Amino acid sequence: MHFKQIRTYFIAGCIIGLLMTGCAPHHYQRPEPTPSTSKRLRDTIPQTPSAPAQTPVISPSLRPLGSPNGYQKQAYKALQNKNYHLAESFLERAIRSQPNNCSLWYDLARVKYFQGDYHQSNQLSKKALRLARNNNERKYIKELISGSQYHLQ
Amino acid sequence: MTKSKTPKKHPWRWFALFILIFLISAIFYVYPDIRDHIHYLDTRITDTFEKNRWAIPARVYARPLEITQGNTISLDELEYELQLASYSNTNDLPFKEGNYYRENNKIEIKTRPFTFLEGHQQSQHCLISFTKERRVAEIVDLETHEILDYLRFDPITIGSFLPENFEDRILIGREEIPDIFLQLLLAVEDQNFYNHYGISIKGISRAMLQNIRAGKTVAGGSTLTQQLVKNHFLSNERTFKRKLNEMIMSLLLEKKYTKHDILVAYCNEIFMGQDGKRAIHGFSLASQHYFNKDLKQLSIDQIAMLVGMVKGPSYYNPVLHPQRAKNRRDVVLKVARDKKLITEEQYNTACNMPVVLHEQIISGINAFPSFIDLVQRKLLLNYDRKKLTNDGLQIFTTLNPTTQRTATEAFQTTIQLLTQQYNIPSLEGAFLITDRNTGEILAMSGGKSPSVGSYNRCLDAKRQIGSLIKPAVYLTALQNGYSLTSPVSDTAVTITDTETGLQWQPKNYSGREHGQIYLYQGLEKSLNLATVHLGMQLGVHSVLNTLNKLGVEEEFQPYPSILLGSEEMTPITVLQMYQTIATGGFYTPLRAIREVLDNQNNIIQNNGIILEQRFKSEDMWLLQFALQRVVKQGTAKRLQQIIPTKFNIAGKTGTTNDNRDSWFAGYSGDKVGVVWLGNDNNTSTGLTGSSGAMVAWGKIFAKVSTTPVADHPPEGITYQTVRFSSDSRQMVQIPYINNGDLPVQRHHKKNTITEDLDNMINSFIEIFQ
Repeated sequence: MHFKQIRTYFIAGCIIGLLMTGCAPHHYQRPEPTPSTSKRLRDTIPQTPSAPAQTPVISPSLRPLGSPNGYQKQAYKALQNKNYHLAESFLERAIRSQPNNCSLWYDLARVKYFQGDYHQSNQLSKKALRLARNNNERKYIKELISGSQYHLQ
Repeated sequence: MTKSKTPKKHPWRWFALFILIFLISAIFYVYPDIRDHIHYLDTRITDTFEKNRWAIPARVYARPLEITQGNTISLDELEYELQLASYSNTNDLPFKEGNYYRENNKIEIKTRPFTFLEGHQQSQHCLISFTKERRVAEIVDLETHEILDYLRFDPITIGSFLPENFEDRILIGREEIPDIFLQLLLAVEDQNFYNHYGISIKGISRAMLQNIRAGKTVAGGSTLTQQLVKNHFLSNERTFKRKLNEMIMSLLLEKKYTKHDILVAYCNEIFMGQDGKRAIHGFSLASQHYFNKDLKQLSIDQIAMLVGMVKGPSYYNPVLHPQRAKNRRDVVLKVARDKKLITEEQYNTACNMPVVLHEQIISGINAFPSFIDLVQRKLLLNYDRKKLTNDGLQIFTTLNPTTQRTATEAFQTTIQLLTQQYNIPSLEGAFLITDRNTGEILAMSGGKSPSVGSYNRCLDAKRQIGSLIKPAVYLTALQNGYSLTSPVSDTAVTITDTETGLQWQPKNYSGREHGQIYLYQGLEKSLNLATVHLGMQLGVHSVLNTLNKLGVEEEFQPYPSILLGSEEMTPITVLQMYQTIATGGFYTPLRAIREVLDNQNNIIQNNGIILEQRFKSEDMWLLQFALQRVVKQGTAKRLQQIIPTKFNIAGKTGTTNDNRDSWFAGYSGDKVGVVWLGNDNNTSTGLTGSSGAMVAWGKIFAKVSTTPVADHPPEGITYQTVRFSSDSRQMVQIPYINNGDLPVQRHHKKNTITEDLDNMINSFIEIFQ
């Protein structure tokens, strides 16, 4: 390999490295996943007593995949009160104002899951997955997809 | 000795006694079975007054305006929506609900309370500031001094569904009627309202004497209760029997109900004029109709105007007879002053106020006929007409009044321009705009100047769609393993019908053939021959299947000419198809109605967002790329002269034989739109997709608030640089599905990643050198 080529690759490496550093995604600081046996989980996930042990467990956390906006905060309050219609309404309003925010679609998919509408939950999760920007987001969305798919089988 | 003074007795007292005796005798004479008759009238009152007092037309609302920090909306747009919602621009204190005051880049607003699907929303007093870039900078609650995340306004009424008698009204309670209004009403119409039992013998006698003296009818003796009975239960016939019934029913009504109930019922019942076929009933609707304000917002001169109209709603109509209405208003104001309901100063000020003419009023009612037509058709699928006209349903729709207004203006201007430029006076058109992500219909127009009941081309004009079909053909190819650079033949083709033996020889619009081309170029340049070759390879059935998955529910015969858009579709069907493309393969049914509540605010229907992924994101990404190329380099290239390139618009032109139909369908970052132009009699317009509909689409999207397409590719997409042709220097970055099994690309030189890197580095070095 000629010196000129080595030099070229070296400079290219540096430039790409610099570019990649600048483009590094903002890492979402997600809290430790709540153990699946926690009270909060039991409160928020519809119980499926007949489900086998390998039932996929979706994230019970009421925290969003990013910092929540005003509508999302209201939606979480409604979710805590198990008022799913209200939560859905707030999330739809949020989506209208931030349609490319994957966490909103994810939350709406979770509301549908809690309502037992696994088909829509699955479809909305796919939309969230399409909008996801990093693997962390994808991981949680895929969990939800497998959760809804389990029920659809 | 002086004579003691005895009070002078009015002659009407004797006359009143005579009238009373006469009436009682008459009742017994006309109704020998008086007990039965009273029972009948009593039942009638109870049935009507308690069970089904009024038919309340369903009310249709636009989407409620919601603003959040960073929202793109100008102060002018906000003010337009406030005016449509009957907000008043005033700085007067106290600052009431429904008032706003605009100064520089700020606006102070006191919203009105409203009950939404989520529950009751209180009034909020806020200050909203805007940036120079038409964005909401901050929303501050002036009572709590908190910064709000969002603010939602009560929605604009855009229509109602009238019953068979065309009566329209807005029901109100006592708390919504200002005291001064009732005081003035009683002072003018029935001073003894709280002292009589439904009829006033004194009033009747006095009126009769006055009329006898004048030799004509100059005064009426009916109480408010009698007026209510006459309007609500009886006809307008002038017979003695009807008058007797009116009196008996008035007495019964007073016996059964409180004065308060009767007064409120009167305020809701009273006829206040005609608006075309629509009969305006009740003071609340009258207030909206004549002044575009809530009753509580009326000034004293406006109150006097409405009260004055009671005497003759048509005769004193301020729109038709402003001077007559003003004279009557001044008479009422004089009564108000004499009764000390207003001061002398208020009287003088009010008398000097001009009569508001109809032209000055902006209202949402009947302003959006095409959209209301769509809403009505959707509702009639689920509800019978009587429910819509009688049960007071509340229909919350998706219409965005600002987008509608802006788009309509741009559309009409362009049609006017094209009409002159191409000398086509009969040119008609239609457009629809939806939200790209939710499928909500934001604006639509079924003609260049639509009106109530006119032909709604968005929903009813089935026209050939021409090249708008092509994305379905290319998407079918991408689903079947083709890449954007797969070779396709753009050469002459003859297709023979096996049954009839008839031959079909399609041609390119330019008449030229291009030999072997890349797949994406067939779409970019809208090449008919390439599309037919490709479609025939894939099979017409496959293309129809794709069309069906895109949301087109109609069944078409699998003729090869389908591949070039010989099938007929309405603009709304075309929009459904492009909606699925714009959302990256997620079928989202178009929605015009968000929810329906009954008159007690219970949810009857809730149409949430519905999605269904029908295509792989990767395939859709490639198709979307090709549609962006249509605008960048293809048949819609001139669109960039109207909308800046940075918006990365994706779209497709469509032209049918003899230039009968001109189409454009496309999307920006947040909206999808379709425009059709043509003659209703299906004659040639001389317009192609790019010279007609595309121009209108561009002008609309250049004016409405929109965002650039800034999607990021799905996982599994890589870009590679490709030369246009072996002898071309022009390079294009083409997306590929990274499945390690790229199709053979025979007619292009695909650079390796190393070569691409070298090119990039050399460019860098050149820059630094």
